Amino acid sequence: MTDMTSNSANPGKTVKVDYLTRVEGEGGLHIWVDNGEVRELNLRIFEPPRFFEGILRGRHFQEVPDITARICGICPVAYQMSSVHALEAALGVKPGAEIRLLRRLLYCAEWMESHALHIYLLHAPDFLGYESAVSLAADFPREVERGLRLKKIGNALLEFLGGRATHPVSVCVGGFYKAPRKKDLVKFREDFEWGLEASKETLRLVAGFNFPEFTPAYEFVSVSHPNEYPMNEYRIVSSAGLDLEPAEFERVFLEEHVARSTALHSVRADTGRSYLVGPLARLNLNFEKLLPQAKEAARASGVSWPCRNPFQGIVARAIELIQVFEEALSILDSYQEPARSRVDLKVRAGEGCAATEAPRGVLYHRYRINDQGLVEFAKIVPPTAQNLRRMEDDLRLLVPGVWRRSEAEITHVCENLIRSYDPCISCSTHFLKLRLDRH
Amino acid sequence: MRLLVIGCGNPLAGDDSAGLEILRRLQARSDCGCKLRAAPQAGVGLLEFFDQADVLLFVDAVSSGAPAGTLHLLPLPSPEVESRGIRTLSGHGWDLPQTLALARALGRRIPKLMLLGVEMASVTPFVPRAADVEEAIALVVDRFPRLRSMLLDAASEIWREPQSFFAGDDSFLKE
Repeated sequence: MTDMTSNSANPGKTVKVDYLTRVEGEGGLHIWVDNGEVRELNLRIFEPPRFFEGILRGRHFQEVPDITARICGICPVAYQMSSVHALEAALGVKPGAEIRLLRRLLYCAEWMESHALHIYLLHAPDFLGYESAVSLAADFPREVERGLRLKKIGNALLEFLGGRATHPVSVCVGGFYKAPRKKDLVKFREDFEWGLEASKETLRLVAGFNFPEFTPAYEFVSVSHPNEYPMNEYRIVSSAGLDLEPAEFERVFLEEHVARSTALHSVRADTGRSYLVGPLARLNLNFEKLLPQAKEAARASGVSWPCRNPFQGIVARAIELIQVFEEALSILDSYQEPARSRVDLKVRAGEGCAATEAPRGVLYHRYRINDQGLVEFAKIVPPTAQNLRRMEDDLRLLVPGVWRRSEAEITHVCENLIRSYDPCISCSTHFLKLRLDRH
Repeated sequence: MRLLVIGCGNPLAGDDSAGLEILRRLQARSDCGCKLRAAPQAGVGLLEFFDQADVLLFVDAVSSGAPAGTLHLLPLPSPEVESRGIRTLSGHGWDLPQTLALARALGRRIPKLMLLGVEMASVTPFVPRAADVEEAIALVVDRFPRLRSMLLDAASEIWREPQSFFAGDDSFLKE
């Protein structure tokens, strides 16, 4: 819904949009524009804080993956992966190669279902001129069914590896409660092969969208591994030259509480500037580590990499869909059942942190446990929370260029921009009623 | 006619575990006579259940202001059911009306849908379920064979209008 009001005391214009559709969570956006200049911009988050960091205190470390998984129904694996890696760092253990591979496959499953959902049901309608996936489905049933099947494969793989499609139960500190049998895993081959081709079709679809021209100067931040496209490991890098151990995360990135929001906003501690995490950052910083078919498709997509247009995040997600289906096939071929599904753990006091790549970007966890294995301290920094300041900065840059348009067009382009981040407001807790004051 | 029971909720959050607990106890019965699935979070993934049964029964904790342990039977969709904070916002937590609209747009088959709601007292993490909620759970499990019969009977009174049974009301689906 959009209202338009004028205020005689302030001769500028006010455009009010109550709700931003097709994001997860509740929030509000108020923008006051005066003669093309943004005077005030408030991205307000209405979701009540979830207090997960407080809930975890006093719990045994093996409860942490199950509890943190419930922060999000779309990216539970991300919370589990960041938590187990951080806790394993605290305990001084490192699971073996087979468990590492299974964890990557589990993450592939989550990226499959999350990216497919976002591309087809949340963001594609913006570019195809539909108000929702429901209206899109009426005219493009084949495409929407493709997206649903891609998501279904991801969910099926999640359920197979994790024991449940939502909030997996098999992940534990040290590995998995149960490792899959190879003879059962190979049953996914046909789905993976279909998914790989369907992902390429997805890229062909989205790369042809008409994208607004908008290329801010970002600092991209992502996890980085020497040889692989990043998921669970290893260091944190940026386009401004950062190359960090996870233990340096809190020194370099600062969370600030903003009075208008229940979510914290993240900036560089030294400059106070925002930064960007997510598929666009990941792809820009790790392009050469894409698997061959994903890389070839990315080069042929018509989009130049590195790419600074946030609206083309949907293209990055489509490329990552190819990447994870290609990787899933590779893992399926190379997987050897581990002799044991998890390593032995010796409980000790310790502190550890880790950063892994949730579908939406860098997810950082830190835990301190005592000699009985109980959590004394927990810190969780979700990717959407890290992007909130950057979202505001982007809106400040975007709005002056569109403020003379109709309120419906302004609303649409602002909503489109925010959806390009694929924000998970409930993770950041802290979505979207848009109120645009235009003067 | 095939029945699929979908238990919803959060096993860690007090009374919000009611739906999953009912499912767990039904799984332990040998005479369940239907498929059972745990779906901690409803969403567009519900579409995948539509092909698996002629009748879907969602079992979940609800909050309506009624006394804790009240049992509600609501044919779906129903204007009386409002997903928390979802409305037009969420793609991640697609609510049931959106999922049904998508199914219709895609020409998918839609089964008959029923919600069995267990009125909650509290969803505080790691807190045991309220006594009235426990009683309601036990009553549902005990009366399930009758509920199953009524669900699979399109002429049954439970399909005509919503019904509620306060805690301690033994008339719930009593033969």
